[in-house]
Amino acid sequence: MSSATPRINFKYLSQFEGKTVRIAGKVGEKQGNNVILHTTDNGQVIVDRSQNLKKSYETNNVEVLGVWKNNQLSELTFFNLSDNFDFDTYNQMIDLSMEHKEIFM
Amino acid sequence: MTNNSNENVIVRTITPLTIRQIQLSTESEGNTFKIDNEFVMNVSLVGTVIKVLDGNTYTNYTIDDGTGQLKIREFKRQKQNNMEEEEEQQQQQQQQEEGGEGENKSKAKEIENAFENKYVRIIGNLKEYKNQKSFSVSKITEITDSNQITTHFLEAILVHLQRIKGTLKKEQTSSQNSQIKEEKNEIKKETNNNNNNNNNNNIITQQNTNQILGLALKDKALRLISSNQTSSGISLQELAKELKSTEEEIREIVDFFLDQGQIYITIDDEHFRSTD
Repeated sequence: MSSATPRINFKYLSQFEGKTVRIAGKVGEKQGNNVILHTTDNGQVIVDRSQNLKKSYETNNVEVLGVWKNNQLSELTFFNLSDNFDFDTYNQMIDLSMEHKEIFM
Repeated sequence: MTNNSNENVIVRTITPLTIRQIQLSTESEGNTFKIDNEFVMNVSLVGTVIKVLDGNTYTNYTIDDGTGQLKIREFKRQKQNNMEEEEEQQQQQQQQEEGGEGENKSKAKEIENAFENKYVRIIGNLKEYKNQKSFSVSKITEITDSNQITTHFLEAILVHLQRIKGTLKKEQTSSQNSQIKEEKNEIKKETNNNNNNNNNNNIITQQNTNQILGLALKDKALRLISSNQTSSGISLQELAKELKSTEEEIREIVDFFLDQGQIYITIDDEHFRSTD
């Protein structure tokens, strides 16, 4: 029944192999169709943008929704986040949501 | 909460929820749903717009908040101007002839584009309609300060824990109690941190959170006082113990009810009975 696309950060990635997830962070270097995303907990994720090239990121911080597989996040869509987005509190919120999965997934 | 003469319950608070909580809710009384053992009517959600269907009298949105997807409906207001109405009717007739079934596809696309790649906050009304959940939108606004996303989910966790753990007090051991207190304090701290780092919008959200907590505690206090049938009533200390609160907080609450005339003092100013 669950059509959940959980919010996670770098440290939870291994638990979500093959799943559709949301990862937020600072937009980094572009490498062809890929972009490096510096996650809110200081990890680095390669985002494969080839399915969504027609839309460009409009802000420095974004949340990318995509499939995490083979060490890459294949982007389905993304959401612009404000520049004042607080990474630390966001990470703590993710930790708490993992402790209370019953209302999140 | 007030009861109508029929079974419908009226709830005056706004509950921050996740779509998953709405999907899982099965309990209802009359037309009102119960989530975590409390009646909910007005609900706030934070998510993104996936799809829009624009009809004659309503707009349907499909919302995804990361925990699930939900179809919500916004009813259109009656147009005041007759000219506009006629124009619209002509447009609608044209669309119906084109096989649109009263759907305005281009308007829907316009709305989808407006909300693309953005987070929105939705305030709406959750009720049961013909055995199905229905969510009618009061307000849908774009979120410009993304910290409101974090705050919303923190508040949803907080209210969820308040509602489920608050009622189990009799069966808890003291170690469970301190663990729960720690968890709640952590969440409150983070909600505070989040709000301190941000601008006015989040200060208002923090006030909302405090209001939610305050209301829940006041409500419980009044219920405890009302349920006490002894002639000397319930004491300040007992209230503080039952509600796991400080005597100062309880003093504030009983002063409020004393002013309102809902309770009165009995053997001394630390014992109370309800006037009902």
